[in-house]
Amino acid sequence: MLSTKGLEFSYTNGDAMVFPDIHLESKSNLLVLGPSGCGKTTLLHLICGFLNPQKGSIHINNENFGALSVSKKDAFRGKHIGVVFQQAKHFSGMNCLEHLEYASYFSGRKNKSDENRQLLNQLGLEASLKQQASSLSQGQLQRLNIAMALINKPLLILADEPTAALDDTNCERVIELLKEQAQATEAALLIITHDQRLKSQFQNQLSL
Amino acid sequence: MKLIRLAIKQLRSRWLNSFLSIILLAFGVGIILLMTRFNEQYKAQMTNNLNGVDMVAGAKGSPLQLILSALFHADLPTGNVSLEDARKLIKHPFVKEGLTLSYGDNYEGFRIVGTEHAYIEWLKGNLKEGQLWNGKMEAVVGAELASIKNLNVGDEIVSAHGLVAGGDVHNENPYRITGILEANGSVLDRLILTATESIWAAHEGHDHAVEEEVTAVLVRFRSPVGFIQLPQFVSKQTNMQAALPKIELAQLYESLGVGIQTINGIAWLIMLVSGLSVFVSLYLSFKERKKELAFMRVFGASRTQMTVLVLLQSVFIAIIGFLLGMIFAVIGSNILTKLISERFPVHLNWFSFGRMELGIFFAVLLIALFAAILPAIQAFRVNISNTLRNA
Repeated sequence: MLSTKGLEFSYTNGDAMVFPDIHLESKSNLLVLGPSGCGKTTLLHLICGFLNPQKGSIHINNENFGALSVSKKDAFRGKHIGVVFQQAKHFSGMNCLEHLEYASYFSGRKNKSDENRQLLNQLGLEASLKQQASSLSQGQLQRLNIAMALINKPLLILADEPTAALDDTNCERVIELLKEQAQATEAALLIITHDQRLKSQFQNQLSL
Repeated sequence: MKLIRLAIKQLRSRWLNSFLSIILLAFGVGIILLMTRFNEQYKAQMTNNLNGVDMVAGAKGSPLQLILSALFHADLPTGNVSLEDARKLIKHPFVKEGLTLSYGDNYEGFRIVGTEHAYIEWLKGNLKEGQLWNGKMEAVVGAELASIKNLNVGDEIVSAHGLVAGGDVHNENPYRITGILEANGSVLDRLILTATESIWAAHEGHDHAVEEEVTAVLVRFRSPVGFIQLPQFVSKQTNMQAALPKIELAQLYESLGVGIQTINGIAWLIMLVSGLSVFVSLYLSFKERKKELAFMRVFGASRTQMTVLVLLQSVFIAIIGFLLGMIFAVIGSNILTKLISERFPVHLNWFSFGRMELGIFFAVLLIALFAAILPAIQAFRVNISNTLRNA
């Protein structure tokens, strides 16, 4: 599903970062652990196609993703990759349902409104369907972001420190959700974190 | 469709900025439309109100004043001339038709004009009720005046000396109204017409010995030769001056044109400032929107979509601003018509959409698109990695 080989990247003013190869099958999970500043986010941005690798390759679903053009990467990401960030984000002036509507619209996928409702229900947002996202609590917003990452039924779900801002209860809940939903949509799940609380929850682990 | 909805959502989330840009644009558009419309229509309508009068003769003074007072009843008369001089001119072989006007009195601010029945024909007026004057101290009133002062056939009115209300009242000689004219958009609507003799009669015993005088002579030429011959005849053979309306009005339009051009210049400046405001609004809000744009890209939104999104917002401001400007122009021409119709028989059209409006619309669109170029390029070039890292 996902395989990286000899990935290297350096910012203009820094040393080259060399990343270990990653192999991830469909429906499997991987936890990438590392202290802050070791290039975790850089690795995630490479796999998402926000950055171009300077050396090495990234293959996703047998596509040489790392070598695609910017616009092809945008389109591929929209269809096949779901991303959850540490800081939950929202679009201004939109309610929860509209967020899912636009997440599908941007990916070029046909959207069904009952699918949106169903997903929001599963994530415990059934009471906030028409609520402006700007007025959600941090935990609710994080769940909305997870819904947005899942709505297009991606092959690969990437999460960057999804639990860093959450307390223990919410942390466990979010990880459960991610695993559950990844399983439900048969997606591969890659979580990048320095959060040691997650160690016990994943069998496959990789340290940077 | 979804992108259009998104553009509107984003405009609404910055409604104060959007509102400012729209209002500025609307003011610019409104003023330009109003001024251009005014410029075209008052010229057309004033020229229309000449009713074939080729020359006006009257007491010496400003020729423009003579024209404005005799044709539009909008200025003070230059003075009086002798009936003998007036008759001499009307009998000239180059004159096809001519008639005299005697004015200088008013009824509560509305002008009383002594003339012949032909004057009503010249101005294409028709009786609505009653009949034309027959003898002395009988009068016909215009439709607008009749409705403002609630005058009916058979009523009596008392004239006063001068052209504004509150002069010496000619109490001893009231006019009896014999007819009311239909409204036809000409100066007739606001005039009181009577026989020339009535004006003289009103002044009898007031100015003591009343000479037989008139205020102006309106002339239609038999042939274009009149334009060369008759003004010379008037200045050499009579104690009057001649004024050619077409030439005087052309000069008036020219001097008014300078003012209109100045106002138009200011209006274009307002529109440019609006363009600047669109630019500043899009540019300054870019920092916040940058995060949203990067977030949209995460879900597969293309760089082209993001660019179009910015351009769409600018186009919306242009369209709404233009439409609001049209509404401003309609309100403005309504007010302007009310203000000037008391002095000039000009009625502006409220609404029109022609080549000029289309041209201004495209100019507005161009300004808005120009203002959006840089923000649109920024939207195209958003660096997702950097933006998300700093978010």
